[in-house]
Amino acid sequence: MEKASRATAVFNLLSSKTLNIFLLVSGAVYAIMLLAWAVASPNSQVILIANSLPMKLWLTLFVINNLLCMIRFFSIAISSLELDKSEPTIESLKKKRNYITVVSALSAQEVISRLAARFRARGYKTIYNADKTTLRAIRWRLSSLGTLFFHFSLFLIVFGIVISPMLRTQAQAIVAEGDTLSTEQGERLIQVEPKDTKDRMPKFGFTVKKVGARFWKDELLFTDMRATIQPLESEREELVLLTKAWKPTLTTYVTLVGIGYAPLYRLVDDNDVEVESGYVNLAAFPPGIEDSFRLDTIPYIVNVKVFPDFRKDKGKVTNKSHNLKQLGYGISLALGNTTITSRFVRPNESIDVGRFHLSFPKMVYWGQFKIIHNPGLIFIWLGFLAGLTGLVWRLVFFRKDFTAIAVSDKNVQIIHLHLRDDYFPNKAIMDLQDLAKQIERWKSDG
Amino acid sequence: MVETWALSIAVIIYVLAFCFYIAAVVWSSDKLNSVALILSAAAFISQTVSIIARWISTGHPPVFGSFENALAGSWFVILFGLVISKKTPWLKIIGLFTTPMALAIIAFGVGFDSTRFPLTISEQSLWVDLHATFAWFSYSSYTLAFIIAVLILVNAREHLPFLNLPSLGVMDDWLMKYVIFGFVTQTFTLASGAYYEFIVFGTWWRWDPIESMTLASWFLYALFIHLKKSFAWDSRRLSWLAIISMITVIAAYWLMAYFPPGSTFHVFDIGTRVHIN
Repeated sequence: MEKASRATAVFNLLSSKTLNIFLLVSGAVYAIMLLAWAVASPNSQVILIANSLPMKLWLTLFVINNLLCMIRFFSIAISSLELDKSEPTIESLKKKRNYITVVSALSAQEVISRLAARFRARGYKTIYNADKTTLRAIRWRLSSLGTLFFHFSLFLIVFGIVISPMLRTQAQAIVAEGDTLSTEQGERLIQVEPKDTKDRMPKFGFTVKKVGARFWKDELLFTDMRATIQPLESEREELVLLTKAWKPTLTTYVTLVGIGYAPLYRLVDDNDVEVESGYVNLAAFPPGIEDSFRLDTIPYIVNVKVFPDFRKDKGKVTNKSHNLKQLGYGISLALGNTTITSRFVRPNESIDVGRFHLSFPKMVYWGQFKIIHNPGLIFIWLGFLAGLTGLVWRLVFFRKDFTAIAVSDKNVQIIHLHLRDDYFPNKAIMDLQDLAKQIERWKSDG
Repeated sequence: MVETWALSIAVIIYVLAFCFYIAAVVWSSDKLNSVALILSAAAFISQTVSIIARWISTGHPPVFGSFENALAGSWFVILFGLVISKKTPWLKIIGLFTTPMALAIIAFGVGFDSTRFPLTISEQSLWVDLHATFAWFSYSSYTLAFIIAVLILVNAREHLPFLNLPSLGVMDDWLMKYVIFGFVTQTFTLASGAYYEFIVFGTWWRWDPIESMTLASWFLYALFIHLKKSFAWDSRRLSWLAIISMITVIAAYWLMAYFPPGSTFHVFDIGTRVHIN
């Protein structure tokens, strides 16, 4: 018996509205503390603190309180949805807050009919009694379901948060124009997070048709960065931006997060016979950074700097902007640590290496694609949607109940009016007073 | 040119309108109040012209950067004030509060770089436009709730006949109305921001200082609604809560310009932006 009463006490505490208030206050305080940390510490540390034990404890209590509150108040919320079909009485109206009376010279039926027409025009559902002397008008009867919707949405979000680490995988891939990526080629997926989760990635692929970028003045601010891709097994091309993802599956997002240079190199001999060529993905962005690659035919390391919009001033090469306008390369060939030759070349120029000539006739961009697969997101997005729907449903389209009873008294009718408004009771009484004034003005001719 | 002139004219007329609002209160004159209202509307039109001129020249809605945000913020505050003074006769004096607020916001904004710049790739999204617009709806609504809360508290301490305020109950309803509107729009701001953040950064919540502060204010306004509905708190205590909650909103929005570079990705000014890659 004692055990049962203790369990009841725990249930009452955990499902109490007081605990709910405590959790809201502590949540606010915790968020403010995190703000202070965020100003003083790097973001990674803040995330670490945010995911620490107190936060987990808070979240657990929040979920338990939310769940138990829903269980405890579910029946009350559901019963409030039911339409009370019993005939209202004057005594019951008098006990209520927003209640007034008004006298009318019209017949009871006439007043009730006019009131019904008025409320019907405003979207209320109207119910009369048999002799048309009482009227009930109800609008948005189901609005308290919105509360349930909103609180249920918090579970969806928390569920999404909990399952995400178990199902999520994220990777990046560098794909140049004309190149094709398939997630089945696991070795091309880099920066995989969490580690060793490549196998969670769904199977899909795409060919990059075009990558483009534009910058603001000479700043490293992208004003445009886009890739046109063609998914494998599809004829339709897709546009991928940083802010527009291509979704190969419902829970997989592919975005373009960076670009780089992929010059075409060409090595020919004295007879202009091509001995080696190909695109090479350089990590030479932003301009000024040097990257290198090796040739198969000759044992040199080729160091490359890219100047997408070069200017020559007194022999010195500078970059005017990051836009691809006037292309040039700073090339140096090295053998071990020894630089053999170093030159600035345009796309139509070549650099001589013994009996070979190296040139870079063309350059394309490569795109850096971020691929995120997370089935948990579905629950989070649904949670947001349900939460917003619930809020709007409950707080904007809240229930209103209007009741009118007409009672004959000698040659006049006394009309008893009541309007229930969950959120704005004072406005409701003003609305009733306005309505009463109109009823007083009503004449029998309409 | 048009942008600067129109804004300067707007500022001058706002100052004039504010003076008329003060005079209307001092002399309890409806006529002076009407003049103040007309002046506010004229200044608002001039500011709208300035905003449109900037929008056309930059090619994007002016809600990016501290300067543009101040333009948008003050515009929303005045807009709400004008609509409310038209729809709610007892709040016709609201310009007494909204015009100095708008002036303060503009004064804050002009301290920042007003260079016109195109949007960077991370800002070119309908989601960020919606996020910023709804944030302004929410902040403006909370501002009006704050003003009503102050009126409730001041009126409770000392009756202010010249303001011709309605009953406490009516003011209480309006306080709740603006909190509800602010809360719903702030929830949309949070949700749209989370989705946008996921698309750009791959994570929908990063405990950025602005996020933390917005979450704190969201909790406080949720607390307001719960205390009102479940605990039937009276207007005076709720007014205090509305004022405290407003501090978190102000902190979330106005302090962000002063956060150390790199501490937040709600980076608004061009000089402090970082390469996305």
